[in-house]
Amino acid sequence: VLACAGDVPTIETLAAADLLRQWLPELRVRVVNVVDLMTLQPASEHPHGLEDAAYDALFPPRVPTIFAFHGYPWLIHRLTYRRAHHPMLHVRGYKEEGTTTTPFDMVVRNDLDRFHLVLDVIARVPGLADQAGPLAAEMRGRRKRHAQYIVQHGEDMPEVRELALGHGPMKVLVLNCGSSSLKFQVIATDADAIEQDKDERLARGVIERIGSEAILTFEARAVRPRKLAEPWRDHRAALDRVLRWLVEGNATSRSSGLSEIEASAIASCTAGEALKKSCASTTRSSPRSRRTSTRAAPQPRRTCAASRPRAAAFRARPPAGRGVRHRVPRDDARDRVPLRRAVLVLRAASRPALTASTGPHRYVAYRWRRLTGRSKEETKLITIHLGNGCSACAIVGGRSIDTSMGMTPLEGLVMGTRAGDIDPGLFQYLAHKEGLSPDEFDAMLNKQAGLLGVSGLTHDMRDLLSEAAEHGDRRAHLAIDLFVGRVRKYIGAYLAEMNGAEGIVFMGGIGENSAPFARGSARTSTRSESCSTRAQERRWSTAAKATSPRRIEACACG
Amino acid sequence: MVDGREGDVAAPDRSVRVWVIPTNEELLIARDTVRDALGIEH
Repeated sequence: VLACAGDVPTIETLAAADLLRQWLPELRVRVVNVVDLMTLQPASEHPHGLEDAAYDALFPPRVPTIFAFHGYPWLIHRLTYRRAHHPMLHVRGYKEEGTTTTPFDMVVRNDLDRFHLVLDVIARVPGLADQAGPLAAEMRGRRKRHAQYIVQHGEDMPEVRELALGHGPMKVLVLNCGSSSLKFQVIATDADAIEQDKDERLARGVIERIGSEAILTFEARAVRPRKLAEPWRDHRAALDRVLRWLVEGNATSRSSGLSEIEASAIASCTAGEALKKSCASTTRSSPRSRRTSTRAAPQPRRTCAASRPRAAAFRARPPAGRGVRHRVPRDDARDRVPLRRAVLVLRAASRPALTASTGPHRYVAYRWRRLTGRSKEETKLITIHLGNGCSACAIVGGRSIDTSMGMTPLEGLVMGTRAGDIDPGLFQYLAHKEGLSPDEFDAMLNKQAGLLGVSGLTHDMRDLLSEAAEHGDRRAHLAIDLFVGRVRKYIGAYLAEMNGAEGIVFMGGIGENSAPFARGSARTSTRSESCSTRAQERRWSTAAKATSPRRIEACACG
Repeated sequence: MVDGREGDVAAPDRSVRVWVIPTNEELLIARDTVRDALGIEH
């Protein structure tokens, strides 16, 4: 156990823990930062004193503890002399050494520096001295180097002045939750990798059909992809499954360091990508580290409710994972806004204010810029995501000026089971004629409409296409035409709004496939000659083939 | 086509280009997370 109190000893302790993790990954190190010294005393002596059980849990009696303190070491000994671990306690602190010298040298002269703390650990952990010889030599070497450096340069070594903890690219677990799916990726990246577009994907997978017999697909480097069918009740259970696979289920996870995830982020969207919000947390400490911000779209109550199980899921801990922490920031301000006003505000103000940060749209806009070499300012793009959910976005100068995404996932394009834009008067009409309740109306528009509702067959575009091609099913044709027609209508509206576009980007399972548009063109013509747009079906199909989900991509992302 | 999986699919004579780009928003989320964690401006 490395304990510390005071700012300078705490930084030295963190640096020492970092060195130990780097050099002796098998050694388990716990850092305890003591902010109230009175807690060290027995509970009977001081109201702040920790009960023995709680104290022993932090400082196990038989585990060596090195305590770095910003005052005289004897104070810590006096406060802890009745504690069970006291025989194992070694305190480093001020021992009247020092003169006019550099800040770090003051620490070195009192043997409170990171290098000496590491030496203390090596000396006091039983059996460590034998195997940690090289580290001990390195630590002594660095202390010498420090002494020479400050004489030469008159200031501390750069590695001391600019403390950076953690090594190499940071491993981030990204979770993307749909209404019945959980996608994840583990991506290793850092400032340089971002700059050079060289982020690395270590693993990815998806659990689909959560709530019934779920289908799990896991892929990682140097591991055979696995496809499994297992019953998973909810997102919480599914997340536990993912973490278990990452931490222990995957044979190479230890050697590849996959289990050492340092940060995690959730993108929670309600059954589509209409509303997206990502938040993040990290375990890597850095003096400059700050709380991660909550970004992107405001979420209405509906979405809040829908995302609650995911929030619960995210509190789940990996069974044996170390270094994984989760935090879900609460957005209280949003909850305090009266709903009716919130709806008005959302509709009036927040849609154009959405930057192009909404998930897939933001990504393809970024990717398009890279492919075409354009700058953010030059971006004039319509992005169309056609997957389970469907949405369109008009992006000018890196900002979304309009989007088909409303307050709930329902608005906009025709989707698998969602109607998209409808006549608001429909509710009143159906309520009178059919006695439909608000909940029934909502369920109808979200779950029984769209491709499924119009075709009366399926929500799956692939099945509809084959149905239309093989049997010429009238309602399948109608559903496809309606779907394609709505996309055309949005493109047309955005072209007018933006005064022309540089490009139109299609993405998502349906968007990456030309078939619906080729089919649609036979009956309704997708050609919009006025804006001089026409896609070449053959090229599109090539793209579709190459992006078939069966293909396992190389690990490099992007 | 770039890598045969993303690229411009529009007919050559058209002024508005049509692109197919598979999405990977997880990458940008990971980058945001790392930038925030390391305190890098973006």
